[in-house]
Amino acid sequence: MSARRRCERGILRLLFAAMTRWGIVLVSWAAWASWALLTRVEGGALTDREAPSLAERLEHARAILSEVPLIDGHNDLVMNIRTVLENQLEDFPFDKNLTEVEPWASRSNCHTDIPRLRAGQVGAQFWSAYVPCRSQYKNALTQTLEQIDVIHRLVDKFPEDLQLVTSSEGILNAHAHGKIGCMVGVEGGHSMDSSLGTLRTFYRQGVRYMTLTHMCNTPWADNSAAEPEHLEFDGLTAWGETVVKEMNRLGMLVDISHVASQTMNDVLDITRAPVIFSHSDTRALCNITRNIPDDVLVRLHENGGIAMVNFLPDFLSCSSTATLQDVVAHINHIRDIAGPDHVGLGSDYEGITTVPEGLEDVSKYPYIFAELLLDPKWTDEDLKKLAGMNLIRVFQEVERVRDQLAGEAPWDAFIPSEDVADHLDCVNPWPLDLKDPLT
Amino acid sequence: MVLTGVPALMVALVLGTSASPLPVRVSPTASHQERLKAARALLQESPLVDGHNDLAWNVRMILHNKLRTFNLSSDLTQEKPWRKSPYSQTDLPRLRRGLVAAQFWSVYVPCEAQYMNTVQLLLEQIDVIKRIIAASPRETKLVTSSGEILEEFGCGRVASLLGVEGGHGLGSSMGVLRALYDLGVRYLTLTHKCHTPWAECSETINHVAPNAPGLTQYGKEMILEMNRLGMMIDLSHSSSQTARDVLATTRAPVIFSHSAAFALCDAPMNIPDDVISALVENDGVIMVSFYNDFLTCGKPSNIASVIEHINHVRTMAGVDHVGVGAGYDGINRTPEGLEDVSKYPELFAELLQDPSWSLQDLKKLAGLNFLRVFGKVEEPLSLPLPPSHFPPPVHLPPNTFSSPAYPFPSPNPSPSLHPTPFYSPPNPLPFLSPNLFPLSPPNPFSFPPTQPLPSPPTQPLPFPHQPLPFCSTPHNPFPSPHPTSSLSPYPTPSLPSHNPSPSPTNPHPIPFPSLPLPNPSPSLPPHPNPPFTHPPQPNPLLPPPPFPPTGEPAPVGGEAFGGDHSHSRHRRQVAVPVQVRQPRQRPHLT
Repeated sequence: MSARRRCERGILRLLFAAMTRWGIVLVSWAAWASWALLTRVEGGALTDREAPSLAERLEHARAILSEVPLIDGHNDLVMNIRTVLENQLEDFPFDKNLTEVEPWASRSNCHTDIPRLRAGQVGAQFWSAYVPCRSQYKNALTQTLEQIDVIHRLVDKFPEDLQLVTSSEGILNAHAHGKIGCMVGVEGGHSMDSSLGTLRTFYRQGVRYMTLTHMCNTPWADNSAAEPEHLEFDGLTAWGETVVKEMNRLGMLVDISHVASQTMNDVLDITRAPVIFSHSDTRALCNITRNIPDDVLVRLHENGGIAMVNFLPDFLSCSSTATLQDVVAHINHIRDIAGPDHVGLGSDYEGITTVPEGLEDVSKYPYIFAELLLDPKWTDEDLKKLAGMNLIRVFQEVERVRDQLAGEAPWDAFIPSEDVADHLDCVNPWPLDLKDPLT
Repeated sequence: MVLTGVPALMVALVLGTSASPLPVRVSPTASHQERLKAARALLQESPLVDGHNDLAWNVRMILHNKLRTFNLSSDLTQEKPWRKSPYSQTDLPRLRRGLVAAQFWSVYVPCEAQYMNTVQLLLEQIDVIKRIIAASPRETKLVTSSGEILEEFGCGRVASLLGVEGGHGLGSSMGVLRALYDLGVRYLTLTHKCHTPWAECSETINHVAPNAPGLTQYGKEMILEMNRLGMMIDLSHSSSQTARDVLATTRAPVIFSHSAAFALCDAPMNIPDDVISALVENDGVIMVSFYNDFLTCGKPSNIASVIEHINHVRTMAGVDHVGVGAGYDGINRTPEGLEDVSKYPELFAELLQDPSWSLQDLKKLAGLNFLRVFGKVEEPLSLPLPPSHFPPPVHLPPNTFSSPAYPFPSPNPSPSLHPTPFYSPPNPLPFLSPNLFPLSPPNPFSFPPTQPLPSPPTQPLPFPHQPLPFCSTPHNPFPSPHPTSSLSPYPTPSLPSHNPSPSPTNPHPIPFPSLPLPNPSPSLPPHPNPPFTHPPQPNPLLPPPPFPPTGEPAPVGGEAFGGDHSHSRHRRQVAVPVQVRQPRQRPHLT
């Protein structure tokens, strides 16, 4: 860096420091003064006029959601299809209201079906291909492929309503054709068996995000439940970094929900594309490790990524109950810290057994927007971003980075054997120690 | 007498370039050179398909799937460590000299990994084959249908196909089976040298008894699901009882991708005569292996030994049911004269000595028989079945779920959720029922051919094949798996930029006045210029705001990537096209 440039930067830095110390006072005073002046000039229009009714706000919210797709970052329906139906879709009445069909009706987490998705005006849904941590080092990969297969078959079974989507453009395409875009996300790096070949296969199978961990450490990343005492790697290992880089190269969204804050920071250090939190809340409002700390939200703004708010009361209010207002509070907190370009919705429906009051199932999304319409800082443009345009922007950026990296060779290092030395009971670590059984 | 090495190549070059467009029958007494010339002309006019090649396994064993130093387009006879390996018989230059039109790459995983991580190994092997193919776009291309094989034949490229060797790789999961089909796999060898929980193999390495002789009920459902998908069933390595059970179940023709006749060598893997004969009714094809241990039970063999097996299959099943599946790169003892993938024309030159082999018969042997089978497997079934589901294996032995498997959702599902198998073959010999193989749409590979094969080259292909002008080849050595061109008619949307923009006019006007924000904090600056200020209440957790980083992304591509290929774990210092940041400061969370 030239001396002149360094000098310029020094001056900028000083200016910036002065801005942040004293500028805030001045600017906020000016803002208050002008607001007060304006309200007086307009004859107190805001205070005199009654707030619009819920019906009016809902109508407006629905208009917004018909313009842009509402995208939800996480739904565990496919896990329940496995648990209840053992993946047998023949008689699965997804196009009926499942609250009237047993055994779904009596389950506490029956939140999703096509009629309710339509009522909630969902434009695109990331379906989670989740398998439990207990499968790690065992048959997690087989089960994950089976769950991905279910998503594909579900889309094939209901082509009138569902459309498989693997690109940002596809989301808009599905929305334009009145279909619900179906995207595949893998929840938990344990699904990929510590193998980049497997990761690439996921991508070819249409998977567009992978959550780096679930509630267990992988051999290359710490999860939030390990924080702070049981961290193994203080974030990502060296090989874990190649996982993130390969995801960047492939064009797969890196999802850092569920990971430890150390892992979040490590990912933000090395990722070459924006990241997502597919279903997480903020620690500022409920201080548990599963949520996002504020410093990471600041870095998320820098990274250009997006945090999608989870609806589980335990994460929203640190208690067993919550309301729609709690969801709004987390949305607003992310907006305050990271900005309106970095917030979205990731309900976690079907994976949660309690729901906030007012957000009982996927038909209720418009009520969030109706609530936010009471708050004048949420412009229509902001609401569209919250609904889906933020995620589409992130997805487009990830695709742009992918295209930019087209000349990069695939990362092909096996995980170092010492990293998995404790987990080889059910693994054939070939080509080591293997005679030649060819032909 | 067989010419070898350089003289053969020179002869081939001279003869190949001057070959006439149509093969001419030569006299059985013609010289070897004349017959070789005729064989080459034949294989340039009609595609040669090989059913089995184990290259991918060698790439894993030798290179651990690291492809930095590997390119299949290079001459591996000159490269360490390949030139010294008795298992290395394949590269693209030799495949093209051998006039191979289509090669099935075997996705093999060892039986030692059964009930462990076979699925992972399988996916890694598929990945490595795809990367190898993608690195040689001018010479080969991955294809998944019989039509594409012919297209690539016209383009002068080797069509690459995937076949999975060993049903143990599936983890007994139909979800995995369907995933493999989606990934481009087009045949599944039901077993390798271990029984799967649902199919018996011909010889085991672990001496475990099978669950049942032949196929179990779940195995039959697997077969029907493969029929539904359009995945070929490969019976090499299966026990003869399994083969019989499959032939009684399947609704499409089967293949033996690399096998020989039990009557000539009683190796356990070879096919008994009754099964060979049963292929007549099934309409399948037996692709003869070139492995000494199968041809002559380990004794030295030569081209005549291979021809003996071919002729035996022809005698027992007919000329419509025989093909070649050498098994190169998985064998270390080859017949004299067929040492590697460049030698296929020698086999056809020898067969031209036998007047009972017509030119049309030789074309069938080379590939038309296989293409007929593939075409039939691709035909939609007359009675579409619903996709089969995960886990029926009520037949799994108790020890199947021993250590490695976590039976999610539950080890003992309620019986009501296991309906009786949705499909039971209505006819124990379905191939006797004519309506199971509907005649429409017309099969272009049925014999006698109802219409001429869509063989594009009207001019003799130069030898070795040069890509024809109408065959586009990508120039990127690492083509991105995602086409950049979009076919969607939907225009790319104009996305909201980071710059806050005024709301567009809304058809449903908001019922309260939109006012300047009463937000005391300055509006957010456009991303990514980060003089980002915090909300009024300073958060003690927050680090000081980052200094405006330089917004210029580092150069991407070119030397920034892959320049340094040292062997350390951090071999590539990849330029990161995001902003440079100050070292992060983590808050102390206690």
